[in-house]
Amino acid sequence: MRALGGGARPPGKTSGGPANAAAPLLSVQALTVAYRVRTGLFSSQPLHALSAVTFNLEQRETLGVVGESGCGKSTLARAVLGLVAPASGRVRLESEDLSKLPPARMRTRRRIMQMVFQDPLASLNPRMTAGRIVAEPLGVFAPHLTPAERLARALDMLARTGLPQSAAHRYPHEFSGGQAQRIGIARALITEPRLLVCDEPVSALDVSVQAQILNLLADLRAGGRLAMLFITHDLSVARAVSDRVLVLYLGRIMEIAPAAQLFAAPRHPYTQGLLASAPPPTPQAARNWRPPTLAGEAPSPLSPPSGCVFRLRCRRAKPQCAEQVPPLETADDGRQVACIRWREG
Amino acid sequence: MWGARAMKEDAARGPWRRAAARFMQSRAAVAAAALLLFLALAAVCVPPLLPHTYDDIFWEHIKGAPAVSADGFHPFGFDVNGRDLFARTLLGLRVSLQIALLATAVAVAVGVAYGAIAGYFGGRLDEAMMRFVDILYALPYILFVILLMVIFGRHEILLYLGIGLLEWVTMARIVRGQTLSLREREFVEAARVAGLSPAAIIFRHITPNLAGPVVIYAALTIPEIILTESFLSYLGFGVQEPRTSLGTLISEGTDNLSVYPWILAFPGGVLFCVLLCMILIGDGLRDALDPRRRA
Repeated sequence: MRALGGGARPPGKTSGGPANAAAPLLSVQALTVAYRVRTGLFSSQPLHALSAVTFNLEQRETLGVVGESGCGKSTLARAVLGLVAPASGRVRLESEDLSKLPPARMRTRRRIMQMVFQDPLASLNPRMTAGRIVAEPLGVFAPHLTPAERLARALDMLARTGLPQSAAHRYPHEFSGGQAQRIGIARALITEPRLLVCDEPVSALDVSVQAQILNLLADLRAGGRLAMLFITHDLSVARAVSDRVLVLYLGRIMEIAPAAQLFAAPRHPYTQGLLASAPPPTPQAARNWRPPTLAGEAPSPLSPPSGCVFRLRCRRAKPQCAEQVPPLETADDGRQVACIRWREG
Repeated sequence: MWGARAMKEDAARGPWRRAAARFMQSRAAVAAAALLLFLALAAVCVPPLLPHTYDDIFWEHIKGAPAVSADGFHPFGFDVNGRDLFARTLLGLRVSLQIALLATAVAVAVGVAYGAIAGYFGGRLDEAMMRFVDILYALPYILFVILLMVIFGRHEILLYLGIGLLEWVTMARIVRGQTLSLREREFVEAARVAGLSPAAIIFRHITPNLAGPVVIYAALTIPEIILTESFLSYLGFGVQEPRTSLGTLISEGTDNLSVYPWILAFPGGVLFCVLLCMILIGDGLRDALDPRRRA
């Protein structure tokens, strides 16, 4: 684990991140998010969307978050941004505990973390022009600017995301999905954030447009000091954008590893199954490929299995897997795995 | 950079312009709007041109039949007290339209603010606010207005406000329901990420998107308010003599229906026209603004 303290930099311990980063940009500790689900007229029970999620995000790093539908990916994005209140645990941004901030201060701190949404059209107010949508955050974070200055900055931002200036006076329904997502990115970046949370930003787009948006995000990242939490269910997208990848299953972290190592040699049986479920890219390899490597569906998060949440679908499950929740172990090479049997190969 | 023409084109693509264009395509609604505008203008502009006022009494013409001659212009005849029914109908129309507009404005302002706040914040606040609405629903509103009149005296303005304050409860329910679904939309979440305060989110992102259902419901509330006022006037709690409203005129007319039918027919005909226009306009607005037709 990397050191957390904001004080003296422990020498030689920051190998994973950039050399000048003392503290991680984002530090999530034992984050648990529970929703109350009504089970009857008067009864309800908690649904743990996230359980004890702990990870760090360094400055300028891109952390991919992958997993199946309903595993808590979007909840993670919303909890990091403070849009849902955690049941327990902490989210620290630049060593500041966000949950302790009063609401007014929290709103101004939002400047350093912004979000790009899954459905580009739904994330734009249908009754506002693109220019007003992009300029709006400046009203909160740069109130000293005149409306004309705000619009000028919005136009500049739209241009950086590859939209013509004429776009500023058009309404969301006049744009394609890819253009709408550019507007969403422009709105997020106009505050000059340090952290950009992308919640499946390309899953609603055509493949060719996906590539354009991913390239745009890569360009924007290369130009500044932007870190990204990139949520996706598409493994090839995760591989393309991420420095490290976090694998989530039923609200728990299964594995965290640098992207290249994770895709080359997954350690957790779930990661192995997930990677094997993706069809191979060449027809020759696909001929011998059998799809259902990962049997069954994820169990209901309302009644997760005891011990390891993955054991019911795991081909290597042993009786002791039901006894305790496997801790997220850090191996000698810095990779983290939550499986009691990963060393056995 | 953007010439005046480009700006105009841009505006033409806005959601309001598109709704207006769709509204103009509905012939019935446009005709109704034109007729209503004509009636409203007549109610305001014609009375000063008449040689007599609404409370001049023609003693020799009590319950007189319609007559247009060199002696005088009385196309609607005279009422039971010998006053010119044309002038009185115009006054009644003006009073009824005033009540409709003012009471609707009150109902929209209170209902939208109340419903949007309850719906956006949700939880306990929502529960408490909506239970209060339920209680108001359960109370007999006529009793309410009558009490208001007895306590504060019979001011016309009070009547307008009183009716408006009764109509807002339904508006609040509709707005709350819409807000509950709007609140979950991604653009509202985006506004929260952008650091907007709850007040800014409600007024910049929620209420503009409520405009469709609110405008439609308001247009359909207006006839209801005119009818409520007519009913109150019929009971004697409405507009006071010598002023009058369409409801008061009609209640006088029904007493003399079999012998002097024009005392009912003319005010009744005008009220019928107004209500029909309002309903047709409401229908046209619904078709023009309904989001399900937008695709």
